[in-house]
Amino acid sequence: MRQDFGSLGENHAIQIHDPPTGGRHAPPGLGEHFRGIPAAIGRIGVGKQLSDVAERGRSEEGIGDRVEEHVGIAVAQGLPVVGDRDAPDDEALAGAEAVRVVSEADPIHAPVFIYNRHMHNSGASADSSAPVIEVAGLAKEYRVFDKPEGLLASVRGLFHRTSRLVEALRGVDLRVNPGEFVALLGPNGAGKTTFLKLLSGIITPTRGTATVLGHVPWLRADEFRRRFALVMGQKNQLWWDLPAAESFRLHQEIYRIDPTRFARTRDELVDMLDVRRLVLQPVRELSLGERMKLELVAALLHEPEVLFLDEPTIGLDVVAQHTIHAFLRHVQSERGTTVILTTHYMKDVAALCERVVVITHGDVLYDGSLAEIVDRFTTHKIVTLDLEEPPTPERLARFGFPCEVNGPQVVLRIERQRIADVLPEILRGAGVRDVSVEDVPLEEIVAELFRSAPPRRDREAVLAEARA
Amino acid sequence: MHRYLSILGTFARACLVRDMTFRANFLLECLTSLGWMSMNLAFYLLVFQFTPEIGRGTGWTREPFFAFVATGLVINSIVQALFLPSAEELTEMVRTGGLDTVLVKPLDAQFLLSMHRVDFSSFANGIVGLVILTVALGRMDYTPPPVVWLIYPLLVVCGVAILYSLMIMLAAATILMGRNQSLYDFWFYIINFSRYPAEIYAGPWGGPLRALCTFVIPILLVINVPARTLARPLTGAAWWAVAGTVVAAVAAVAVSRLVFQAALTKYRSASS
Amino acid sequence: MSVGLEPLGLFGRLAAGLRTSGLRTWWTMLVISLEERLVYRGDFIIGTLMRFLPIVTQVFLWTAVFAATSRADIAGYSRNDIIAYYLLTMVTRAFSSMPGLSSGIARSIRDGSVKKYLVQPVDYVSFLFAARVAHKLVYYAVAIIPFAAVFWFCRGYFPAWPPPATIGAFAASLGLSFLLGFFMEVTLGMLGFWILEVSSIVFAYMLVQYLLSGHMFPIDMLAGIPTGLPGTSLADVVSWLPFQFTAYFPAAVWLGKVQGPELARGLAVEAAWVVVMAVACRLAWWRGTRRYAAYGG
Repeated sequence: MRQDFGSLGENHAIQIHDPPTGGRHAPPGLGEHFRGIPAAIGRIGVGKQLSDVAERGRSEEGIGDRVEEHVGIAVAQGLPVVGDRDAPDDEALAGAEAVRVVSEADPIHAPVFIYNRHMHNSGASADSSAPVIEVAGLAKEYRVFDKPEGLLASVRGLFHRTSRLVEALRGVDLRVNPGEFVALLGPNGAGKTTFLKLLSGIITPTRGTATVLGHVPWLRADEFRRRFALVMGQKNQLWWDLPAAESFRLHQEIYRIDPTRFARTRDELVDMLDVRRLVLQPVRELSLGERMKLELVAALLHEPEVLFLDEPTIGLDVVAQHTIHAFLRHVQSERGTTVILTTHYMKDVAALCERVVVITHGDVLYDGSLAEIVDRFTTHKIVTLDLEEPPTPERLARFGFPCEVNGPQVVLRIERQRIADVLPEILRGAGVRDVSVEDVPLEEIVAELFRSAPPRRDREAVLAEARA
Repeated sequence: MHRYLSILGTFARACLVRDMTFRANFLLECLTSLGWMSMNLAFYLLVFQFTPEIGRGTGWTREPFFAFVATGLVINSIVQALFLPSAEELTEMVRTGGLDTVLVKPLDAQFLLSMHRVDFSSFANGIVGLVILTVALGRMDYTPPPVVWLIYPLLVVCGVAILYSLMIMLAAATILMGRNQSLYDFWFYIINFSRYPAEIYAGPWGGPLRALCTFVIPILLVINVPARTLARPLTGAAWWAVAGTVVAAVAAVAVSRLVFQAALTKYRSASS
Repeated sequence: MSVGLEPLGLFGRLAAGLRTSGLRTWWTMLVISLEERLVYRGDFIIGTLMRFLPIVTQVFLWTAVFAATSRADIAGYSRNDIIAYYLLTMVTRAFSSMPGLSSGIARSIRDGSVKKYLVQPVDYVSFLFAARVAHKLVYYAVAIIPFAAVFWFCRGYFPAWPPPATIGAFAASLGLSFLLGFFMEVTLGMLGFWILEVSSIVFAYMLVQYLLSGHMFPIDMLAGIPTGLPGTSLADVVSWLPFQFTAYFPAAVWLGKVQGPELARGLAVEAAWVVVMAVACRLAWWRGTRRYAAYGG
């Protein structure tokens, strides 16, 4: 089941859009327009990356060509092309099932977003929009024996051991469509990896159901296992002593990949990640970043429809992370692979996906887009003032908002609704050289999300309390 | 299936390449196993200085006994070369979570876990065993009938199968317990009971032990039955023993597989 | 730097090492070892009992051997004697075996962690000694129960209690076997200063030990085997070597197989070997660290 450009539907519009400054919101007009259509539950979000990269990308050459290429494809397929930067063409979009937004400044590296019209609970949904992953009430508990501390406890431990029930996952629901790129974000121990292990069939759940590609994962059908891939950061799938090329060949045998297809895929992937010269070295001689790239190649050799990634960028340097991000984006958009990625790095999320599922203490705290997180979970904006000279205490007192002072720079946190009123007041005071209004950084919001989640309460503890 | 054979070939080839790369180590390992074996042979020779037979009237005089020992060397070397290295690694895999990567592959987990590593240096013992077997047979008074040359290899395979099943059961225990350091020790302690002819287990304690190791955990069938076909005439009882061993081997493989699959469903996986 | 030729001085230094490097440190080591043991509780209880399993097979084997022969004893051992002998060698080996000692030393030389003992005012050998003592004490404390159980269960195989002098000699030989085992393994480990892969030498050592220590059979059984030299059997040769003291000798003492002048000679030889190995170990450390430092470590 491939997701090509054309299979999204007959009405597929392409909009070439210059990212707005501060770009954390959907291109103006687009968001409202789609939200306005009742049946559409489009996941709309524009990553922070877009604006950052746009700055950098402005100087790159050949970008214009890429844009032309996208336009050319659209025209060749008879699709309406909207070239206007600011206002979407209502007519063109009205009939569109999906919209693809490409940054003109950097169409190669910036995220490409596909906005689908999501058929919610409709039986008439086309096969291509049937969910790839459906999870209902999935839960996993297991019993852990307490390790005794100290000598006396150790002796007692010989005869009697206490245990407690750990709820790694407490009834999680999820639905993922084909071609989606979903991030499972959460602090360590939140249950993300447990969730991934359940979806890939490594462990069996205590309660609940899940289907991936129509199969129940923990039945471990060979049919199923041939259609997905799992890559875990810091854990090795490749043979340690041998060159990666040998592991690739083994993969081919295990997954029964047709030889010509295998050769082509392998060469493609190897060149994409630029690891050709590493393929013949024994894996144990390579660095962590190089190994990770080879792992990714191995994982994609059999062209899986679903890719599970467990903290793939952990321990890697910035350059390697960036390369892997670009690679994953490319793979997902070109091959339409559904990707589920667990991570606790905001960087991964911002660079890669429009949909974020936040998991803490075994529960799903939030499931939606990054932009929505900002909208929903922040009440303030950050206003930074560059003054001509460091402010006097009276001046500071007059601002009246929590602030931070670094020499001539003052950082204020002002409630959103009040900004429009308050800002002119502040600016009227003399000596303001520059002002900027920004959202609270995403990392902070998410960190706060993690912190504010209700503390984990094991079922037994709750029961014990109830009984007491 | 053809695919499994070809994958097995790839594993074997990879291990051979690695052994040849670390040649000195390979030779050392061969010498190590030959060394231990020689010590044991010296011990047996010493014992036969003091007695003509192991057990009164059992027929295990020196040459038949050495044929017995040689059979043991052959069977154990096959198990130690083909299956034991992978089993050793299983404990490590369970501990580090490497088992996860095995479970997501569209390949039978038991196959992968028990056969992905081959230790060629263990074959050294088996080769020496064959030599000893030839010498012992040459010196023996009794000459086994030709049909034995068909039955003996079959029984050797059955012996390997029974030991393999035992190993799989221990592996299943490792998976269930999450970490079992003494898995490897268990193996050698249990195998130790099969090193000598079953007749030595006599008396009020020996009798039940012999029954346990013949009918419940059939390790006494492994070396005894094939060795006896070489040393003793094939009476009716012997044929029953042969048939029983074949049945036991098949049953052992089947039961151990069931247990292993059950253990996989209960797999807990190391923490993230 | 003196090479420590006087054994008493050496032991004095060891004791001093214990005192200075802190009795408290030693106590902590003890406690940690104990906790470690108890954590692996399942493994530990089963593991200790499993060590006796091979003896079960040996018992049956020797019974069968005796059944087929008309002799009452082999090399002076009746069947019961042999079983008692094996059980007693388990005790000796509980004293003399030093698992991981030589490989640990070789490893720390290889990866350089031995350097800190060159700079710190802690004597490496004393430190190792103290650690081993702690380990062993802990091991005895927890292993005494399964051992006692097995011995009580098998009391029928043992002859009557030996006279107090014999018991004293037994205890002395056990203590000496601990020291001998320790120094032999430490010296082996120290070879790591000169040889990269000590494991091959350790393997050879273990093979010889396996055969000649009495682990498999009482050394007396070698009495009938001639060597090239007239009037000496293999057993005589082995009786001058240090290996027999790690399993055979104390067991033979307890069972009264070695008596009077022979016993005295045996103890003297054992003590002499302790001195020799202690000196060898000291020498190896001295020369080895000099060489090590010369390489810049």
